[in-house]
Amino acid sequence: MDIREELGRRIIFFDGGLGSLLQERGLKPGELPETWNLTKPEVLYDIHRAYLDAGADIILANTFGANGFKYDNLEEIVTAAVKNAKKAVADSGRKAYVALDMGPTGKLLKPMGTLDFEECVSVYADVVRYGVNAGADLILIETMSDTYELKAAVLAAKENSDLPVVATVVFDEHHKMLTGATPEVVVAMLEGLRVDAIGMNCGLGPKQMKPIFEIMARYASIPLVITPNAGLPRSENGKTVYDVGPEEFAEDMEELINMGAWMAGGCCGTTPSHIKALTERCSGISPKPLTGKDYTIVTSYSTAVELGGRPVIIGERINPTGKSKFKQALRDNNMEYILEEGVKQADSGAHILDVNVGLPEIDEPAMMRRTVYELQSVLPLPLQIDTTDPVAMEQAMRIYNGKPMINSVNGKEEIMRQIFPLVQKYGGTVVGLALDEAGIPDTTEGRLAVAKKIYDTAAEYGIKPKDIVIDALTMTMSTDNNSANITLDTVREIKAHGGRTVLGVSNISFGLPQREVINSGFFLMAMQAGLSAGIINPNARAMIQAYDTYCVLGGFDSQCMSYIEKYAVAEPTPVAQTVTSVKQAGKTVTGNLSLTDCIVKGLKEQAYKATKEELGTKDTMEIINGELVPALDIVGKGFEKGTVFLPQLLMSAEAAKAGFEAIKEYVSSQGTNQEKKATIVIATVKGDIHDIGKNIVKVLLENYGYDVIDLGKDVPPETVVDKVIETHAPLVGLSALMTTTVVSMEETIKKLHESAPWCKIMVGGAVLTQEYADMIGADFYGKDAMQSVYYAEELLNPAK
Amino acid sequence: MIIDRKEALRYMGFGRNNPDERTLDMMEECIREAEKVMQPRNVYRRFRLKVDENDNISAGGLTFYSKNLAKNLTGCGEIIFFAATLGNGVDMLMNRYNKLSIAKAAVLQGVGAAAIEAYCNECQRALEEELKEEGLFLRPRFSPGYGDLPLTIQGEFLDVLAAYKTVGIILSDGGVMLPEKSVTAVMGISGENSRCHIEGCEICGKKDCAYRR
Repeated sequence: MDIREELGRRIIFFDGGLGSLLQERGLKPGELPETWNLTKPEVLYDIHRAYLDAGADIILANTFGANGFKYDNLEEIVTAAVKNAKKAVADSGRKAYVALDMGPTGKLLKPMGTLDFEECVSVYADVVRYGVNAGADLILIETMSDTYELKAAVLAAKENSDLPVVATVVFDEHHKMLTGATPEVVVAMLEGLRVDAIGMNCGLGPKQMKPIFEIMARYASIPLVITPNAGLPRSENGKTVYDVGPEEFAEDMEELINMGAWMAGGCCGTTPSHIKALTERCSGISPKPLTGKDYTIVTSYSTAVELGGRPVIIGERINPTGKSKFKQALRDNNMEYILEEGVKQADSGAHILDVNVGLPEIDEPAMMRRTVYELQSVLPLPLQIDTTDPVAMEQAMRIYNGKPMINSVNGKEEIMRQIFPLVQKYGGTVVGLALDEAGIPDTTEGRLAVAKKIYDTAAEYGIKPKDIVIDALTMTMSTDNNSANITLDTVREIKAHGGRTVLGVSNISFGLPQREVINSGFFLMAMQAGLSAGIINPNARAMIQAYDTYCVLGGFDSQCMSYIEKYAVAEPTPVAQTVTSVKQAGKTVTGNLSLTDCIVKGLKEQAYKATKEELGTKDTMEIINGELVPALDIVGKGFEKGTVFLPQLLMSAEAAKAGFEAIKEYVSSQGTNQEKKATIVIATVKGDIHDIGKNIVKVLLENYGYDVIDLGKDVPPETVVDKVIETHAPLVGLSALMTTTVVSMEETIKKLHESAPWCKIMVGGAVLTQEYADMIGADFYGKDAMQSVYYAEELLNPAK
Repeated sequence: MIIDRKEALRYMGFGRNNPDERTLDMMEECIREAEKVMQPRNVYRRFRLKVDENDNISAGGLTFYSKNLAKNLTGCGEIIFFAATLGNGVDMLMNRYNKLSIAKAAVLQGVGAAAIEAYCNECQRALEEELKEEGLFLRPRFSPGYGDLPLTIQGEFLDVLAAYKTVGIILSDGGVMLPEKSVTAVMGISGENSRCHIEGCEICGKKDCAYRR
């Protein structure tokens, strides 16, 4: 019988702690516990038996840390673990289940670490396949501290088995996972991934778990699991001890079960006596019936945004439509430009960012994947994946860390059949456009009929109404006098039926002058009509003012605190402020500064302006060689002499970069291309993920006119070699921070010498010295970033 | 926790020199942003300590050699293994500015380094208070990579502390701690109050270090 059929009929009990019991029986510190599956199966059998005798319905096979990173004989280890547990069940004469237990891999995923998401999925997939073959009855994914690793494990479980999947995570006293996720985030993401039960384990005792469990219970519509430690750990004579005894544990657990836990057990510090006390006290409790919760939630890996209460701002700026600079950035693979658009909107008050990178001439799935990944590595905002390409949609949804918003489906049968299965698999909240094969209905009734069709079709895929957000469609005012009324009526009707709505607001004013006047007014009316989310330009001051106004008047800004904080200053702070542009100390700078001064003083915006002004009167080369480069030289020399320090050098570098940006814009507006000096390939070597030094070198080299190809961090030797051969670059720069990673630097150099003998190699990084650099065969050692510039100039631009 | 501005500037390479107003503004901005995303956590365990005449140190199931640390531990009967981190949020922030403003990334590095030091000092003071009740005293914090204590011991310290599970510190294949702004250290416990400073460069053999005081 499947455990799923028993869920909700009675409380199901898990077993308790294993690690400390193994230690009592002689497991040494540092010894891998899973090896005992083969060497001491009788010990595991005994422990399993003890838990079964204590009343556990599910026992965990000893596979918590078993994965391909740790074991060459993984199959043998997993198979033995499941067999030991199954034998214990068989001999106990009880009806009980064996769970394949999967914990963290022990590695950190990108972007924070080095493990690739798909590699993580495949590492778990091996464990799942072996566990299934050995006869496991369900899969328990537990003690997870990172939502991304959790998602990889769930996908592996679901893609390689039909077994029930239970997932539990660790929260700390601040109600957060290590990677920052709140209980709302975890519930939304795991429900989206459609696991069978969710909950929390480890980290805390039952008492500390209570307030967190309360939040989970408030949001979850699926069964809940709770397996706490026996209290908080305490160190006594070098040993970790837990203070909550069996009776107290059972008493606390009774409360949690009454709050809605359907499955309960113990983690660290709990013993068969704890589980015995638990089952004796709680087996008679009938499970609290499940209730469907009506919260519409989208999340990133750390942040949940709810639609349906205070209106939500979805930033629309990551979209190439009508933006030639954005299109160029996509063609050039210029991620920096896109990320700046994201950060700027976040700073302006966006809650969710729409991401649209569709351009006919680019590989949209690859670009979408990369953009989502990169945005998630710099911002905690949830994203709305906006594409008409189902392949791009699926790939982005797969690697997305959290529960995304999906833009979009509409009433067309074909589209819904494409997108809903993806939502069924990966989770998400879907925007449904109120149009279909027949076009855009020009009545409210027509749009509501399409909305109903979308809700109904979604239901076939198990997608609840709360995860549908209807786009009531903003039509241009200038073509139909009644456009706004129809749209607003649709919003009102959907809201009255308990639904959620979204609008792309700015379309209303298409073709009209001073569009923001109309847009902000319409936005205000739409919010008043009950709009859940507006897709707007958060950098437009009037839009944000309309939003802030509504929040105050609509009662969403308690005691007007947010409003006062933002508007109490005499001059309202400009909404659009580039985060990267550092607050310039305007007070110290007065009068007109020359371009050289702007760069030496590190004034980015002024440098850009000064360059623009000079472009009217001077030749570009004159500006570059007469001002930009000499200014950089002044700062560079000062840095060497010890009168200019790193932050100052870099502020100047950024100011110069802004100057070059102005020149680049000018040159491309003239229809010509600026010539670049030689190509230089740079990389932080394999195993190393500290790349700030390399990034500094990159900015400086670019300022001196080099075409820098930055391969990033943790770069395998082969990738460097391939790129050098492909571009025939005359110079490579490699960085490494740790003694441990200098080894891969040496290997990269060796391979470059073999396959690209023309290429010179410069190296830098905290642990390197001239001696060390010589030893590993580098051509040049740069003790700081300026040295690498001087070397490049000497080598590649000797005329100067 | 109060971040020591002077320390942050030292990590940025200013040494004893005075920074300009722009750097100071940027530093304050970075501190504000970092404070918003920091999730400092620490974990420690206390073990009985044995140091033999050849400077081999045994505690918590580990045995390792370090002459400098052995000297630091003279007269100690116990030792604390300690790890602390500012959490992933600061890494994310550094990630952001690494891509968008290299000047700010450099300043944030200094701020992050000063912040984790400040946090460690705070934890250490709390430990000192606790030990005082037992009539015991704490020796200065001593980290792998400092003096002749090899950096490679870090992984073993982290294992003993179950540092991933407890505070989220993981060692990459390249031997780098993640989150980046993390510290591991040991501290001796002794019955005598040998007046010791909390931090210091003096004992370290790396005399050419750019950050040496």
